[in-house]
Amino acid sequence: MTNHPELQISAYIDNELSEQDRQEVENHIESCTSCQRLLEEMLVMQTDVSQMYSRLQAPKGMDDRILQAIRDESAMKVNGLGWFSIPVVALLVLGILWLMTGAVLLKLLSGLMKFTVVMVYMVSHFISTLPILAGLTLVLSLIILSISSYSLKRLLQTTTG
Amino acid sequence: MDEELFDYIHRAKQGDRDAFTKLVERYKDQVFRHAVGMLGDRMEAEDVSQEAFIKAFYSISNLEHKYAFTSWMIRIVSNLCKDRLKQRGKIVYADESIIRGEQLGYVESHENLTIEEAMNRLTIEQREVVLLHDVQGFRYEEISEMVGVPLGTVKSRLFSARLALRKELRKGDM
Repeated sequence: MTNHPELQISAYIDNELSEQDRQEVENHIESCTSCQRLLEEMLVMQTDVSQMYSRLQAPKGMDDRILQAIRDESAMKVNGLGWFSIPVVALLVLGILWLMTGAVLLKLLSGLMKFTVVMVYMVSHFISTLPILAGLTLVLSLIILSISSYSLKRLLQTTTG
Repeated sequence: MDEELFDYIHRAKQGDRDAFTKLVERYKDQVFRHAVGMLGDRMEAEDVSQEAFIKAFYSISNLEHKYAFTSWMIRIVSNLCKDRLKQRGKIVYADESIIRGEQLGYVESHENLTIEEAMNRLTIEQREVVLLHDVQGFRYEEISEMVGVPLGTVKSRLFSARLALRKELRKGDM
């Protein structure tokens, strides 16, 4: 017999063959010493591998280290969330404040806008109708501003000196 | 006993840390064993086992079926081991297995190899199926799902792994 069902022998020891394939392997083994030897060696090897690894145990304290690592990682995630939550909370507070005082703020802003428009209109009207007086007022204002700042400077110097 | 285990898995899925602690206690040896088999290094195996449990803790809510926990957990550790080996540049495919020993710096000797040494000389794919079948006790069909290869591939891979193991273990006798 030259056609040895070696692949099937491997599946045979694992009990993964159909009844018919199983029977065929058994029939072959009965008359083939090399396949008998292969079967025996595979069985011994399987037992050795299984026993060798089954004896292995996790190092002492490995579970504690795993649980500690999970605790550390969870803490890091919470802290990360803490830092992230600061701007979120700030925005939330601002939002609530806006909702509470929004109406008042809007009124103030619109009043300010109206006042600015009126002021701009008045100034432009004043300049266009009385240009000489406007020019003089401007020059006078600048002179008064310069004298005031010079006096203030002197005053501060004498006080500190 | 199994009901108790399913209860732990169910509670861990809801975020119960004490239940997850029980799962770690229960599965630590099994996970560690698989990592040692895959990596051939106990220190690294502990590292990967730790990583696997952390990953499991954060993704257990995605576990579809509580009865599939064991295969799910072993798949996590197995994939992490494969990632490690890829980083190490140790992934060697079946047809390169002959030169693998030289790549890893093994010296050909005529002394008998231990099972662990012989296992380390297999390809990653071969080692994985041997560990999943002979050590973890999964059936071909389960392995096929876990590894993502057809059932026939599991069968032939296991067979080639056994032939390679036999060859390595016999070297000393020649």
